[in-house]
Amino acid sequence: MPTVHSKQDVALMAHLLRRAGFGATLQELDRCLEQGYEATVEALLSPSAPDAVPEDLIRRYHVDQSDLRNHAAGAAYWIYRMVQTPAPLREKMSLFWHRVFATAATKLIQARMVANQLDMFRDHGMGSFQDLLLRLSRDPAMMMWLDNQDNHKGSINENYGREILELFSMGVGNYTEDDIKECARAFTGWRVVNPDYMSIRMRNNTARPYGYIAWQFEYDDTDHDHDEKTFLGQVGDLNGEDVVAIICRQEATPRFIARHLYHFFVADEVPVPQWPHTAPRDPQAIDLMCQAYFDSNYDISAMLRAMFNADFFKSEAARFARVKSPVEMVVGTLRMAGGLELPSTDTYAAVGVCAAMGQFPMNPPSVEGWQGGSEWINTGAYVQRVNFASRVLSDPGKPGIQAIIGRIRDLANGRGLSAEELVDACLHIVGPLEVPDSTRDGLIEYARSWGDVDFADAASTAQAERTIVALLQLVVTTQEYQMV
Amino acid sequence: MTTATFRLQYSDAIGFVADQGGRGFHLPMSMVIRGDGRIFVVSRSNTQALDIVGIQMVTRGHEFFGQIGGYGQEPGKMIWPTALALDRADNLYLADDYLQRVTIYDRDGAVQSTWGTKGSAAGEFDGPSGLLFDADDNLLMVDHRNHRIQKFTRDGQSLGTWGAYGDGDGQFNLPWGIAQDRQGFLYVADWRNDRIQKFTPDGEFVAKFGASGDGDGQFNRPSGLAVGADGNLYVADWGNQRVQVLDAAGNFLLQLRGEAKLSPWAQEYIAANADESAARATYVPVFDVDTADANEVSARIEPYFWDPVDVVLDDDERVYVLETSRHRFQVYDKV
Amino acid sequence: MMGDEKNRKVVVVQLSGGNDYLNCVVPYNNPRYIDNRPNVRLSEDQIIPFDNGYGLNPSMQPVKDLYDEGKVAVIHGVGYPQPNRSHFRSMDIWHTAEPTKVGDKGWLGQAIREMTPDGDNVVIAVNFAAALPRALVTLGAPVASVTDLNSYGLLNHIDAAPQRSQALDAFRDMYSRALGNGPVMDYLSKTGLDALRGADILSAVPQKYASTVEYGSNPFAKSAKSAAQVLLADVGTRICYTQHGSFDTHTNEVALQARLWDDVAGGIRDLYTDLKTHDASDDVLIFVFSEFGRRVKDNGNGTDHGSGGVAFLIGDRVKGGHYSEYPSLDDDKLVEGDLAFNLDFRSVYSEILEDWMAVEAKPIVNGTYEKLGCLNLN
Repeated sequence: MPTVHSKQDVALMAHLLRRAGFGATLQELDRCLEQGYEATVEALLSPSAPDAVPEDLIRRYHVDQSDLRNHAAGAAYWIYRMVQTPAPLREKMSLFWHRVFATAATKLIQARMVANQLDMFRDHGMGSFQDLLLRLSRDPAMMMWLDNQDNHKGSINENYGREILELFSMGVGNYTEDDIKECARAFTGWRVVNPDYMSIRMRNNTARPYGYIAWQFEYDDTDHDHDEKTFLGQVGDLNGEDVVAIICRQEATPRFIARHLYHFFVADEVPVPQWPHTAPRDPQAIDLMCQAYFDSNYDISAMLRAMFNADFFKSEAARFARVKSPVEMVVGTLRMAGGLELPSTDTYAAVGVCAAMGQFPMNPPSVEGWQGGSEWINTGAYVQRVNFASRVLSDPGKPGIQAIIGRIRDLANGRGLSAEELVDACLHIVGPLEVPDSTRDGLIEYARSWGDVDFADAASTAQAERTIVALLQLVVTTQEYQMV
Repeated sequence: MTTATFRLQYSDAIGFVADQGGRGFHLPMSMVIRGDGRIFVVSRSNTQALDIVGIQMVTRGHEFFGQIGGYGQEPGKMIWPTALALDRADNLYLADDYLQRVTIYDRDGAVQSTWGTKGSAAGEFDGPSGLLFDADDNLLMVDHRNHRIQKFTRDGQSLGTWGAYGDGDGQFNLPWGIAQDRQGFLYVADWRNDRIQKFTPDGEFVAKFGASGDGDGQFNRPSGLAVGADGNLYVADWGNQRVQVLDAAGNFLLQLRGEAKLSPWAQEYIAANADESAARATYVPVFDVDTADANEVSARIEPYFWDPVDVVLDDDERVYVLETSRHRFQVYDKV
Repeated sequence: MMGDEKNRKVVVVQLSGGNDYLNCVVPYNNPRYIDNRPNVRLSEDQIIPFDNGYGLNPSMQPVKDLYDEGKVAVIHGVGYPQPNRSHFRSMDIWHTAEPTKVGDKGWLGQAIREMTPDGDNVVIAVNFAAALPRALVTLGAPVASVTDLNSYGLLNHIDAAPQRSQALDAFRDMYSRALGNGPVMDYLSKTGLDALRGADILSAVPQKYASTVEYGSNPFAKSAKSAAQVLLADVGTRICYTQHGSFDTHTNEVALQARLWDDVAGGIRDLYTDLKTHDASDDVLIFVFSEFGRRVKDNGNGTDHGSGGVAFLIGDRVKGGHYSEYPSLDDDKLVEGDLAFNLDFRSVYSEILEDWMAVEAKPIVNGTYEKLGCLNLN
């Protein structure tokens, strides 16, 4: 006899799995409820299994995902991984870092370098922040995105020196313009192999003559400025590693990262440029994550653990309080439907819909990433959003839909289900979604128009399946489903 | 350990990334060489450069004759082309994995007919991969998602199938390429089983070569393959980003990793772009790579094979290696 | 008789990827052009003869015909300070009218807000593509994005008519009754209802349309036809946004650009003719632009990203002719091998916004830019 979990437990677990992942299937939800909330948080933080990605099949069937030059192909590859991953938080954190360390394939000309950067986020995005920031500073995509190949001894290019402080670690107001220059000097000589040729290929937007050539990090000591520098009060022949270590010691760094984590996982904050002038929504939440950061020697998963286990995250007020980003909506719906197989044109279609809704994965609009929140919502995007979700759920043959139908059949337990029961069941399975009575009434009326649901014989079962699918398609058009 | 009594010496590279059309290939999948020296290469391209989907025609002398076909569903067009073959009358056969059909073009590139039905019954197929005309001028198709080989008449009447899913003798896991030796024995790249299987012309299992790995004689997802007059087997070891040569008994002889130089088309391009030409002067194509991932190594080192998908021999036993992600083929002379 | 300014419409034609100015309006006899374009050049016997020693791309005959009728303003050397060669950044600059910082409001999006401050007119702007160009994006500005007018609508994949209409009724019902559940939910509800209303209006448009004009079969022709349908249906649409491409002709340029201009010029002619035969061309202005021009020197088979481009304004109310000047091709006048722009694109925007759409330009383009005076508004 399976354990019966309280409605509150189910709602909380579903909330965790939506925020720390892309929503759960029924089976995943059951499994997590069995192991309990804190154990689930731990499992999310330390996924034991690597992603079983059938790279060979992907590359055979989607050759444009083998060279990964094309943005749409690169993004389709990522969508596939997000939908299929057994470690959703790892993937969600890649999306998080992609938003913070926004690097766009458009300037880089090829998606492959962004894909490699995402691999780095997968491997190190929940470890030491110092390690991550150092890897980011050596990441070829980041280096070229922020022009560090033009940052030379005696002729600095401040781009990376500025953004690592402003956008990637501390935020405006915690350093001076001199610190930026000194930071840039510390990163002189950090570049890619064959910098001249790789730069000009990028600038000229060319894959010619023989396709794309991937970049590799290289440190050129002869181009590094070894003179004394003063950075945030520290003096010496500082190199990039030293600068990263100094940054990570600053109180401002975990405050900034914690605020980003809160913004992404808990509740929408004001836009980043306003952060220096506006207090965080929940200063205590930021304090808690800062403490975890220093207590754990800069461990990102410690900050996440503190956040997911805190009341400010678990509270009912936090649930469905954020607008789903296009990627969250698309990936979550594809996961719910299940059955993504290779070769797949669905992943390409998913990229198109994400882009149409304003979030082309691997192609954030600027170095500041996507702002999100209500900016995801406009009439054009809304049509896309609603149509995509309900179209994905239109196929009763998909394994996820079959599971939902099975669950409702179990609930019916040999008798018929009223329209009210059916609507409540669907809302519960998809969310659980809490909808206002008016919405529930609307759904009930719609369900009623489809007739009774029972599974007495083959004909009524087929009719029941059609009704359930039709109702699910409408449930995902509700305002509540647009929230996470 | 067997020692090769010959070497394969790099002689040329033919190709250019034609992601906006024009002379070259884009993500090519398969090639065949006609008796008169005309070479047909089919480009798969990607979702944003559909104009280049088609069969490009070139020669070893870097001549370019435009292309046959294009992207689309109409007869003669293609979506996901996978394989090419020539029959005795020099008609060109194209397999399409998306449309699940075979298209036949005549010698001049005009569409003659198309046939094919998706399914698993005899005469149907699911995911045509390798194509080969056997000694009797029948078409052998690697029916890869059905994990079998199917023999057809030229107009698509099934003459039988062999193979099933599995890793036993005579079973397959998503096979890809197929070749025949002078004695009539058939070789199939059993792609996901990382091995080559040898069959009689009727499909009776004879032998298997290789195992998973990157050592000598081991494979990582072999794709295309060819057999020399001496019975040596040339295998595009796709996942290991190399070509291996085995003797008729399956012993490892040698391997190629690729060493392309700039072809005339590439040279013309570089010469016409002063800024790229200047920057290329300091470019070091081969350098120490900080990863062991063969695919990533190939992405970084331009002369190496990147996704060597097909290997073809001409009448003089020159070896042609087609590389999907480098949009070219490299030619090696046997010396 | 021209309608009042509240009825004037703009059809934007975005040439995505960077239209090569030099092979669009061709200085075919200029020795600097001949020197710089050994491979990617249009010669005198190829071009369509035009004014002042320039020629038009051979595919632009329909534009030339309109020009001969005095309906085309050719705006030369248009660009912005500190040119950026990234497609994405440069397009963003055009879209937000913000060359120096990253803007988050589209220039037309802001105009939409001015024209329908409470967002009542949900079809005031129609974008004919799935993805919304940033030019149209501003919080609270309603925009409909249409990929196919014939199948446009909410829940359009539900085939059976009665079921779809039931689902839409339920949607409408749920969304109207949910108002009053907090600001975010209300915003969602309002947007959902606007989307539905817009879809209702636009999906009825094709039935109202009858025309003898036969458009081409390329994607741009389809957008041009859809724009004509929407404008002729008179549903309150004032901005139609279309795009075509890719003009990113690094290789195979001559053939690619010719084919693209075949599509664009033909589509513009058909759109204009369609409106004209319905006596509706008088209050429509067509605006053609690209995010940048291309490098003066060719690369053997194509051209790379450059700066300084050409824009066109086309319509009955346009004073045909040349505006601004063709930038010099002399080596010492080029900026890093690119044409030096000599007209800020915000001049063109200011004229469109203020003189045509009656929307104050200054807050949108963040400054005052001299207008060209190429519209005849009497």
